[in-house]
Amino acid sequence: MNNRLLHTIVKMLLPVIIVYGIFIVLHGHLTPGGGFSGGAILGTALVLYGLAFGQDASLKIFPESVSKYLESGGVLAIVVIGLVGLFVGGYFLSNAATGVPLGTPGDLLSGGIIPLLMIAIGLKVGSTLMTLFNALLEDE
Amino acid sequence: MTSLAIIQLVLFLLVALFSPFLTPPKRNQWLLLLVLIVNTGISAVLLLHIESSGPITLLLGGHQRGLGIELLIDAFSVLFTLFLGALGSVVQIYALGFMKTHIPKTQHTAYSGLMAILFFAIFGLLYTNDLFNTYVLIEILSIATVALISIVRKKRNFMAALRYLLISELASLSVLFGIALIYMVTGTLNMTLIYEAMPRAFANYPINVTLALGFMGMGLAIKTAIFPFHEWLPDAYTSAPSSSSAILSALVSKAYMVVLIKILFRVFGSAIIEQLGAQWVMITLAAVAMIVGSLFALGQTSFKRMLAYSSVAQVGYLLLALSLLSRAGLEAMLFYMISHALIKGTLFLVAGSFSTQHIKDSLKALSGVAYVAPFTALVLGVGAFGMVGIPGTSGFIAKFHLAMALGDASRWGFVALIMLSSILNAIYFFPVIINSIVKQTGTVPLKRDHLPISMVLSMSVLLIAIVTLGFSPSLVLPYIEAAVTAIGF
Repeated sequence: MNNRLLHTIVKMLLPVIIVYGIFIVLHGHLTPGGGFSGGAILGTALVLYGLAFGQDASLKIFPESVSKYLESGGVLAIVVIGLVGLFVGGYFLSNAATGVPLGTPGDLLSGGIIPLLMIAIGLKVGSTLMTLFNALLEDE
Repeated sequence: MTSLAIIQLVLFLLVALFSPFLTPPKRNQWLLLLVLIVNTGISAVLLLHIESSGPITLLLGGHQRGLGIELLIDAFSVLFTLFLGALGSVVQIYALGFMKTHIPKTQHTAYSGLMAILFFAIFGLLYTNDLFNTYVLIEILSIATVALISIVRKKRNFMAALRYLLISELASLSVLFGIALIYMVTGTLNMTLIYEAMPRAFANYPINVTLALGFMGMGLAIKTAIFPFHEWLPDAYTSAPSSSSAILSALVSKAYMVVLIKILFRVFGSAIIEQLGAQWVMITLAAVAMIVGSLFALGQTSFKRMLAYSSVAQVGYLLLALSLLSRAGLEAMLFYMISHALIKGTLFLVAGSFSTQHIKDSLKALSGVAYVAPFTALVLGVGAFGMVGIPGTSGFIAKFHLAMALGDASRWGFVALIMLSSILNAIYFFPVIINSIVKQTGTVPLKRDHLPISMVLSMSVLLIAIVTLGFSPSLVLPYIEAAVTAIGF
């Protein structure tokens, strides 16, 4: 894996991919895409890093314990937000009743709890992709 | 009060999500058991509430019917969440002791997490009144099942799991295709709305509706292992750890049966089924399954494999009751499902106890077993009596009700078929019981191993349940009648 060309190009690409992934996650309530697609892009960035620099290097910046907690934590955040909605507004995942400001439609900071859900999904999907990648490499 | 059903689903989800955070895996097992008991309690409260003030319709997110997901909490769905939750708790108590020796330590966390997801899917399938939601939950249930089969990391488990995965994905796709065809002609996914729109849709697009029924029936036939589609079942039930096999045969297959009932009577309606003649397909499959399943079971040398093939035959009984498309038939079917879940679950737990006591999973090794493991042999005897249908067990009442329902419809030939199949049951179960009492020296190690207290406790509870239902079926019959009324008869 001592390929200088590969390493340089991956290093150049990574920031762009990560920023694009974050962009897709954060604009989930406004544009096509959202937490799942954005999270998949973020996960791909990590997988690309792992492919170029080896699994040990990728485990160093993103250890398995982190991905384990992010995976559960992402869904946990959604369930907690949903439960807040259930107890405050009467419906699981009710939006306006939770008190998160709805903002003007079309703005980045709008949509109540939807951006929060998108971030949670993004974290979950990204870390799951990494877990799957690691699991596939390990079981050889 | 009304959102209690949501709390049930969320509780299961929370157990699954918290499982990586709780460090000694033992705590996960206790947490799952606690949640199962709490959810069973909630179901009991809901059942009482429904009795006094009617079914609850829950529109998730407050969207109007047809736009969002709808949960229908009525006498039918709550009866089964109550029963399956209670049975699940008992099996989970068993698993507390069983896991130590049979599931690798590294997998304990995964076991409770997967179990929680499995129960989440089962409860969801029972409550949901939305076809697409049904499909999603079927997928969740089958993935959790596959993972539970392969939780013991051995080659034959992986083989069985992969086989089940491929076959059941085919079944899920078949169901999805049926749903798509229904959506095409009715324009909605809500079961109640589809039921209202169905007569017109059937008059205008009979081919679509027929195909939809065929695809969905085919998919669920694979999932419930109705005879020609049972190929995945013996390997899966035999290779999975016994507590998982008990869950698979007692809970998962019953959940799919409930989905089949819902789709037949709440989506298509019995009039359309009768018009298409689908009940004759069901009768044929049922008759073949009842005889062939028992014949296969006769030829087995492994105890768990024999139980697995006997499940194939029992699904035939359920299908026979369903094919009557009548109130009496459905009542018989629901009682049969409850009785079979209890008995077959118990027998798989017995198989697990034998292997805990270092007795091999072969019918030969069981000879004289009553001297080494008297309690387990007693449970085996009662369970086998129940399967055959000896009076005093719930199995007798179940077969009796089924025969009465068939007699009402004057299908006497099928009553004879039930008797024939029961005789076959007796032919393969009685030698096991007799063998266990008759001692053949030299075949059994003479040292006694004590079972963990949790395993004894859970098997005793099931034993009492089987005998109690055998003597006073009137404990559950009123609830079953209410459930059948809720389905729409």
